[in-house]
Amino acid sequence: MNKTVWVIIVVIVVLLGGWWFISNSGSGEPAAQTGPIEVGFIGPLTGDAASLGTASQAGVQAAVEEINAAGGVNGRQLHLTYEDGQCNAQQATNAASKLVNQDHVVAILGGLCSTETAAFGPMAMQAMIPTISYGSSAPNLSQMGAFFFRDYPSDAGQGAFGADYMYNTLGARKVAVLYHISEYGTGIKNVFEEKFKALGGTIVSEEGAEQTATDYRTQLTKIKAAKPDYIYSPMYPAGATAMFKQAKEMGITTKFLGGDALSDTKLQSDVKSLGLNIMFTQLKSDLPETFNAKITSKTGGTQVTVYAATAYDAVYVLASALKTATGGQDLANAIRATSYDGVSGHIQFDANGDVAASGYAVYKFDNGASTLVQ
Amino acid sequence: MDYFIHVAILASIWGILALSLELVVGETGLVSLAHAAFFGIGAYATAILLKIGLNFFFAAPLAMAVVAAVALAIGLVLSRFKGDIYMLASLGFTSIVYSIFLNWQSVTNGPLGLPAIPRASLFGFSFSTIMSYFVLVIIMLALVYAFCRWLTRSSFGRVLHAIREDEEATSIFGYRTTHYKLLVFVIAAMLAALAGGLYASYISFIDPSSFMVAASIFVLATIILGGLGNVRGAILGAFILIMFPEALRFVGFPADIAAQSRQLVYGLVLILLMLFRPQGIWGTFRL
Amino acid sequence: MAIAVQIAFNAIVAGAMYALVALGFNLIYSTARFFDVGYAALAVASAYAVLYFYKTLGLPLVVSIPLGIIIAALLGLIIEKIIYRPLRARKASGTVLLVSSIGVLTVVQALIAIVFTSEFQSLSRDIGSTRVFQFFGGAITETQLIIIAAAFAVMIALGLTLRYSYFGKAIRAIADDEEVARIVGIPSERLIGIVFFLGTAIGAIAGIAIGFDSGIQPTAGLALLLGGIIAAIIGGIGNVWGGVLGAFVLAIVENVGVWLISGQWKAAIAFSVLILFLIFRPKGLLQK
Repeated sequence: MNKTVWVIIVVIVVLLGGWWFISNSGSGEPAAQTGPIEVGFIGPLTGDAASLGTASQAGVQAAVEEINAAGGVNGRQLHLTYEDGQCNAQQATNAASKLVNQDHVVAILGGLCSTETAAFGPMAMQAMIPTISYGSSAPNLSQMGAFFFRDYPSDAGQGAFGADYMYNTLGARKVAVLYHISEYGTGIKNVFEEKFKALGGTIVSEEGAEQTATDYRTQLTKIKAAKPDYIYSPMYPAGATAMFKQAKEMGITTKFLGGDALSDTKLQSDVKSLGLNIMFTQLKSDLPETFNAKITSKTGGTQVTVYAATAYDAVYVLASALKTATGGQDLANAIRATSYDGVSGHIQFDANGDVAASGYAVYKFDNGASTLVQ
Repeated sequence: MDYFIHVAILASIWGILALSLELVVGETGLVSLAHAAFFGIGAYATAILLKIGLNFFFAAPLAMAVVAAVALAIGLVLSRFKGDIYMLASLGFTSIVYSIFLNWQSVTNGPLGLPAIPRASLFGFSFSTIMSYFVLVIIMLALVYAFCRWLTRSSFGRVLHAIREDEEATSIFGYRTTHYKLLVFVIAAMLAALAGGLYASYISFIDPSSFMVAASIFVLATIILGGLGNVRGAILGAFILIMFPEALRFVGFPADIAAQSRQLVYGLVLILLMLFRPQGIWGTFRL
Repeated sequence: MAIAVQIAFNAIVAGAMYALVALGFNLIYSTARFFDVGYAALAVASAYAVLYFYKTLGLPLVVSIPLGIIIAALLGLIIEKIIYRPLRARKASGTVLLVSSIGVLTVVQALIAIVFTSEFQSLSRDIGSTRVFQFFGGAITETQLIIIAAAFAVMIALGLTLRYSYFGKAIRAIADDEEVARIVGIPSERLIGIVFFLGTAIGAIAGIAIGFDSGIQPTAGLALLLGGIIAAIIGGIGNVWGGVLGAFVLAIVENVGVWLISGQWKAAIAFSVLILFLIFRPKGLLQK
């Protein structure tokens, strides 16, 4: 091998050695009963879901700053390490492995995507690290383990509530479904359709679109032709903005009911001039203007997504539990015993770590914001 | 320590993938972007078989057989193409397979993925600790490496090199080049499937997003970095491209733009590599 | 009947966007001979530039859009000079150029995310305000008509330039055989730089169009680009009119496919069309 190759190999070895050295010099024994409390965060900070992940990160940052400014937990400051899960199974496990083994966190807040949580969950359970997910909704996560909690509701709750509301309160019998093919959209849609049909309703049209799609016109054309009473639309905000605009252009006047991702403030503001009738389900909460301001001042944008609120609350729930326990089984027990009223609603965990699904409400788009309907 | 072993396990799995793509791209000169599809089919097939209770050491070979059949079909279509068109068609196949993963919900559970995939076990011993799985993966990597080295140095390998250098001349000499290309394509696909099975059993959760075109491009980047035409280069490239982004996690970027900054650095490194060392580190063959 | 009309309109608008992407892409590919994936990110970057000028600074559209296009085109030119030109000078293979363009894509996307955040953005100041026209039961908006007009304008301008101007003939010579062109005295390096400038500008129009029509995120480029590439291939790569034809064929097949099958399979339909064409008519609909 010639000289250049040797140089490259030496450089690589030096870099790897440096990496090893840096990563090992800070860790070692986890901090004892003094010093900062190490907590980890996993979420999609880059990639297609980045807008949601960065907003959630802002929620966590806001909460951490407030708690630390008020003296921390038992006099100890919270120290957050933010890792990028990229909404990807492998990246999430890398992130979790680093947080657990290198940063020696006592708890993990994450992931946002069910993909992330399902992937790193088993590792966290095995290491007995309590994990609070602020955004993963896949129903099967309820079986993740004794150290798993989520302050974001399982699809099983939201989809069923949507179906019930649609059939019984709105009186809809023929519904068209337009959803994003993702663990969020597909998950809610599956539960919704099952429940709605069980109640006696008919799904007259079901159209899916990829999460990154910008053109919903043909799906909307088919839905319009099926003449539904209502359109159920569990979609993410970016695509929903385009979809609503295109629906209006095509002259669709049918009313919409969506999922909690539609609580996104940017979406609500962007579509306010369309004059469409849009409602969505969400955990009953009261997002005060002050909370929205906290998030937007951090992100520099205008978007406040539902996950920012649940992430913010997750920090407070964790901090509350940390007052009486420092880690492992004790901490898990303390989290399970916590009852907290946050910006995302009332939080209390059942035996599976799920948040009680009974606190749902329906909101309506109202001139750039949303108001409670029932 | 566990963190490093975890990263090493993943690097080894991608090393097997890199080796398998090396056979096709480096030895034969065909730029295939289809590997993510075979990786994915192998992962899903193994996962489904593991979940119904089959032992890993039966499930993986079965998955490899399934992938061989699919690869044969895809390879037959691809064998009509050359160069850029070949690459584009293989990209098309990967996207179609990804769409199938996403929409064939009764089998793959669509975007919700398959959770709780059991770990491989042998005669009652379960590879459930991270160290034991690392040993398993390293042994697999060594076996695949030995196989690839043997293959590339055999007379079969020499014919592949001849095809790479000048396919027309090789066929004039009487070699059925299409058969050789197809065979190496199927073998490579089976190795990718093995990597998929190891991946599924380790991470214990798979979903379509791990098997998009980006994964194929990543494997291609690893072997270009490591150097084409060199089997060792494939493993080196995989290890570097897996470890490098992880190493970047420790660089102190400001929190709200840390992840994006890492992407920035990653992209810059790709560009610089192509500018200053396009034949990779140990390459003997320039595409 | 109304459905068919609406689907036809949808296809025409989608086709126009693919056509713009294909036009720029074809131009770059036929001369520089590699798949420039970074092109996608620059298209998105121009949309963000327009966002900055139009929404943040409040400049009028007639100023913001040209500024956005020029900025993106300049970026394309700079990238060509410092990255692709040295690579091509050493006869780097198409794959190496492809990987470096992936690096460019990653870098540009990351920069956009750092500066503008990853939030999705819509370029229009007031979303519901564009006029909607009804023809034969199908709806089409003013913005969409503008996009279609722009696509045809670019296509005609480019086609005429390539056929009749000295520049166009030189480009065609380079596309045919670069070495010979250079021997004959054509300053190929400089011209390729201009090609990148123009090609990126055309792509920028597509990016801005999407920004107005639906919205953008830093990662929005790739999906758009793939559609454009498929369009260019099935139309006959390197052929200007072919790219446009391919774009409309693709859009029609996609939308009819979604109509008859389901929205979930849209991407699979697009790639199946690609593969079928590659099998049965690899040179595309229109030969060069």
